[in-house]
Amino acid sequence: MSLPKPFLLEIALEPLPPSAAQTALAQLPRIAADLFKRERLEHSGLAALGTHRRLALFAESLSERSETVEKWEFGPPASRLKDDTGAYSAAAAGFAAKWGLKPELLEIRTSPKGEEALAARRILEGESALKILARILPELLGALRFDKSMRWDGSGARFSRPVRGLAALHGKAVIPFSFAGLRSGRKIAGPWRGVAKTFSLADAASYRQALKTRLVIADPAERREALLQSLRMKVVLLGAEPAGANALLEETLYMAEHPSAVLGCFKESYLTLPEELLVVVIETQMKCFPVRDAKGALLPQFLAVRDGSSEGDKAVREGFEHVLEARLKDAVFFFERDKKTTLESKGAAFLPGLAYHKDLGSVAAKRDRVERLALWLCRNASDLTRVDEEAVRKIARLAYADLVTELVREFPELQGCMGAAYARHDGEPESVCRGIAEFYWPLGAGSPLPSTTESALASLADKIESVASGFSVALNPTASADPFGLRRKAIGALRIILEKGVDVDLREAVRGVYFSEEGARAESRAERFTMAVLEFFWGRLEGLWQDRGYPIDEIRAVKPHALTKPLAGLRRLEALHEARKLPDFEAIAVSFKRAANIIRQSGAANGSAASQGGENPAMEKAEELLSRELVLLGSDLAPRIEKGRFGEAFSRLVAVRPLLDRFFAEVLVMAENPSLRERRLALLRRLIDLFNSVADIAEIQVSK
Amino acid sequence: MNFQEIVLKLQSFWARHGCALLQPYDMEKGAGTFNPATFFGALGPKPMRAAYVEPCRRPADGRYGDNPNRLGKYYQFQVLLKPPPPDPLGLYAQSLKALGLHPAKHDLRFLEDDWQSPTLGASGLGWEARLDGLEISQLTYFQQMASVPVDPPSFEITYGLERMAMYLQKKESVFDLDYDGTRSYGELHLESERQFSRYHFEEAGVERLLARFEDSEAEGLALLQKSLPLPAYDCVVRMSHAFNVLEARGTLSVTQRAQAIARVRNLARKVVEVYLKAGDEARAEAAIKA
Repeated sequence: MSLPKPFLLEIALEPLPPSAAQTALAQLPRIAADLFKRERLEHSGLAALGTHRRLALFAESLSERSETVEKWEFGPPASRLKDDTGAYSAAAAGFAAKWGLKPELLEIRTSPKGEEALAARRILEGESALKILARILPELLGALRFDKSMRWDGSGARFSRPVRGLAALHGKAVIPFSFAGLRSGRKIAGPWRGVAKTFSLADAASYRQALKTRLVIADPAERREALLQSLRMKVVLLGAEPAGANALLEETLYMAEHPSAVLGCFKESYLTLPEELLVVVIETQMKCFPVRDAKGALLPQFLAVRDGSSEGDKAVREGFEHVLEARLKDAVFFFERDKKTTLESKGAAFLPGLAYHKDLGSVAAKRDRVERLALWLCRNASDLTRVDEEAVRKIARLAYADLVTELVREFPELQGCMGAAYARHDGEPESVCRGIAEFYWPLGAGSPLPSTTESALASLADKIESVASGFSVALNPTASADPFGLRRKAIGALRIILEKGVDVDLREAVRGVYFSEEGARAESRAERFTMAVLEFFWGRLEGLWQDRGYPIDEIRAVKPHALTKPLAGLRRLEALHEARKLPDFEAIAVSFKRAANIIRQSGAANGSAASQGGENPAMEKAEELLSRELVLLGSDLAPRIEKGRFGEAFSRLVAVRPLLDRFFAEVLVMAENPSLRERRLALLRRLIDLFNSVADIAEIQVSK
Repeated sequence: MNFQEIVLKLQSFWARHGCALLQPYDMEKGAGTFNPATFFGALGPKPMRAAYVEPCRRPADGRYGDNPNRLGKYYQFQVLLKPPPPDPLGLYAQSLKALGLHPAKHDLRFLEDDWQSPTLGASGLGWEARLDGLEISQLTYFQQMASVPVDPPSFEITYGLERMAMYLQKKESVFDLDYDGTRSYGELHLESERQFSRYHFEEAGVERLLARFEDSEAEGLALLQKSLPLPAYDCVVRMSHAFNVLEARGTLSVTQRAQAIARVRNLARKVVEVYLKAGDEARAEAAIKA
């Protein structure tokens, strides 16, 4: 009986991009677990460890041998064991030979498919783990996928960054293999201080500890704690907190193997710059952490994170302070220059010369389309009380002007918020400034929406215009490309509509974009693209609603209405979701489908008899009752739909059930007599129309 | 350490590591990569190690000498190592030590920075090196040159000499740098920054530049007909610089710009085709004789 032992694989690398390290660490244990399973190696405590300089896979235990197992291979049907002469058939002999057996040793067993078949018994011998690992570790490393990979020598090997060392141990034994022109050993990469030093590791078990004593924290989770701790320690005496986006924290984890924070400061006068600008300079340009006081206000300090110890912290601090000072000075220089002219005049002077897209004209042309659409939205979106039209118009008018400022050219991610800062400086009303700041919101999936109705409408106009005009010049997003970010724009537009309660007719809005230019071209664009744009929005809407837990059949049931009016569609969907819990709902859905099927099957005959007047045979009782019920249903539904009381509308539909069931039980729709038949079909058509005015119940999946 | 001492120290460091110390190539260019030592050196299987200072002209980056951190012309120190040594980043760190910068006493980090030159049709993967937050160098493993995959790859180091000097001398303005113990960088270069900014942004003759661009292209194509890739490459460099000045003048539309880039890249690709074919034939001949 052999004992399981700890296992370690380490690849030493030149600095990996943080995103590559993250993807590799996510893939490693998954691929390894699959390979171990295939090779029948038992393992426990499998974990990926790594930094920007190493990727490692560690298992607390891995069996020393793979298990010996019996395996049955199945072949031709049992009936073909022997031929007419009683000899083993060619098929049987061939199958046996395939597994290295004589045909006498074949057995007849029930295959996994449940058939009696010829079966060959194989013994898969266990193998030493060292042998197996030597075989599968190159396979494991070769299976890692990166967004970008490179060559670095003549070996032909490709990896995210050059591989400079391989260590692989099972217990105390080296697992011998080659990868990327290197041979494995027990040499572990030490911390990098300008020289690539290695040390020898006796036993896989002591990997983490051996690194830790050398100031390398291999475990990303542990390193994150150390990083946060180090950042906090530096500012605790200031009563302050390290700030910084989560993305910066993740990135920093893969820039230092032993994160050690250094506190620096900058001139207080820079705090008068817009906060977003300071944050971008500190976080994005410098890869440093801003520092905030207990109330969240920025302090004139920052935290840099270096790798290793605090030796020479003074030089590091002064270096960072020096660079930050130069960058902030640059920012102030640009900011002051930008403020010399108003946003309004900058927009007028430069936006006509700024290309948006070769077939969509300048940014000024886009701005004019958006301004018109924004005003249309103010006047046509219902549910909005007291919209300040002038503010909406001004937001749309000014929001793009910051694109021609020096600071936004330098920091494109500051579009919007710099515009707001300049608008404030120009003395624009606060509602306009805020609208400009929030014009591109939501910036991400969970990010906030524009806060006021005015901001929301201007922002919505930009998004609808972008998608509609983009589709007309073949900017439709594909699986691999979405250069104008139309998916994000569409999702943003829908979130504003749904979450800010903007009841707008999307079809009219999209057509409005095409008709902002004159003549036949507008006509043909509207004709060709409106439906594609609506379907594109619909695809995003399905996704949003599924994310919120609505079943896809309910979503599709409201599509006829939600496609053009998403907000009203949502109200129908919520009501449908509730109505589905009613005891009779499923039954009415079944009956509805039955009615729809009859109409569909009656297909061609439809209408031909309709005009034939003349005889009008008496109604059967059930037919008469349903006919009267539908008249009532019609007059009950209309006001409820009008007022958006869809819950009541669904309850009312469900209440039709007893009379509809009785109709189907007692009345033959497809009667011999054509006028009788047509009258009954017309009744069902009326029923379907009434139901469809609420939702397309045929989409609902019923369990029976 | 004054500016020229930095150059001297880097030169002697890289000479010790087997580099031929070349001189700048006598043409206007936007980056040290354009020097034929790197452009042709990176192609084909023949090993190459070279180091040289290269003046770089980036017309659009000029600021009339008003901005203490920006220049329209500056100096790169360029190193090409083919094939790459086993530990090129370690070698780079040693070169910093030669300048008195010990990596353990500073924050030296390598940030992902993949490089490409659309006009040369060249690309590579690598890093920018930051010393205590200041970007001082670019390090790149070339993957492709003139739209041709390179095999073996080359390793290129580009030191930003002014940046390094500002760090070492703790100066706020590039013009205050001590150049040689007597003169400042500004004394030697400020007036040229002023005049060239005016030239590039205001006075450059657009028609003449366009004509130069066209002429250089025609000349290059004609030279390739005669199997003269090296002089034809000079035409690539000339086109590229004319394009850079036109960019600074701001007279190119988006479409014109894309077309101009494609034309430079095409000529570069053709140069390399002819160059590599000649190399292959020479090697084949040598093999037959051997």
